[in-house]
Amino acid sequence: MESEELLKELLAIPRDAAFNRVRYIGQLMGEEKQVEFLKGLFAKSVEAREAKNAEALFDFLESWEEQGMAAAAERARAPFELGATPWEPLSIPISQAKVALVTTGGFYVAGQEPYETDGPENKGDYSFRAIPRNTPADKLEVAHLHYDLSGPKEDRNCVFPIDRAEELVKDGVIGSLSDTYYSFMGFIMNPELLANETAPEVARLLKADGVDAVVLTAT
Amino acid sequence: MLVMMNSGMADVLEPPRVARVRFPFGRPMGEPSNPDQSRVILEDALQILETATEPGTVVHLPYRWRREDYAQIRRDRAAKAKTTA
Repeated sequence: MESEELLKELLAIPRDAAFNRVRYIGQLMGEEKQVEFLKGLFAKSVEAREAKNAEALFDFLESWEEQGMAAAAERARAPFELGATPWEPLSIPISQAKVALVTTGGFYVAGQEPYETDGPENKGDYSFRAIPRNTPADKLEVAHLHYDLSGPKEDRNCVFPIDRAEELVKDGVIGSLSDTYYSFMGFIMNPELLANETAPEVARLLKADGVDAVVLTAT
Repeated sequence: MLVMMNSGMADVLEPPRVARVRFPFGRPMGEPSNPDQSRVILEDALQILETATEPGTVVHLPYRWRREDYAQIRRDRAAKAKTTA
């Protein structure tokens, strides 16, 4: 096998594996960087064994994963002209505010139409679902092809912190909660439709509900 | 405000307020079945909402994946809140 092919083979991490963004090192970075990563991985593993402490190895993996993601982001551009960052300061403390949760994690209530996780022509789905705040965990479904769903299936709060929000309002940290939250499914290949149609619709609905602030969790 | 993983997309999109977490894809609030962790992250998110003063506020949350004692973090916060009260 040629060395270039061998390196790519070594760094072909499956998409559903943990640390799968390390695959960007193989896909986007040059051969020199790939060799540097693999040699460093061996060195840090030995160091961890000698020190009986793997912290330096974990830090090494995470920082290389970030370098891989930075390499991917360098190639990314905003999908359309974004304009100035919108800004509205929060004029009241959170303890008096009405808060809503929004997520891109692909949640829907049992009985609602699931998302088109790939959609026709692999375009994804820019629709949203209204999620009643008091939806029991066993009635909340999740559909998304581009992240590991075992987490939210075990505990929705690792993506959509519904139960944590309830605890925070009970403890007086949050003033009140909206009766309705919203979920999108984050695989959206025509984001201008999200920006022009469904996101403004959710903003209107939140405003009509008197929501002061939103925590949006992205997957 | 937005809680997202530490990818370069936060730099491309420039949201008004963002908490960047060094967690895997699909785990913005941390590990499943770790209520102390998701509570700590949500508290941090709300804190950013309340205290940010300009658009493009980015906070890198310091937590290491699977290596923090969130119950202790919560105890420390409760103790601090008592002394400031």
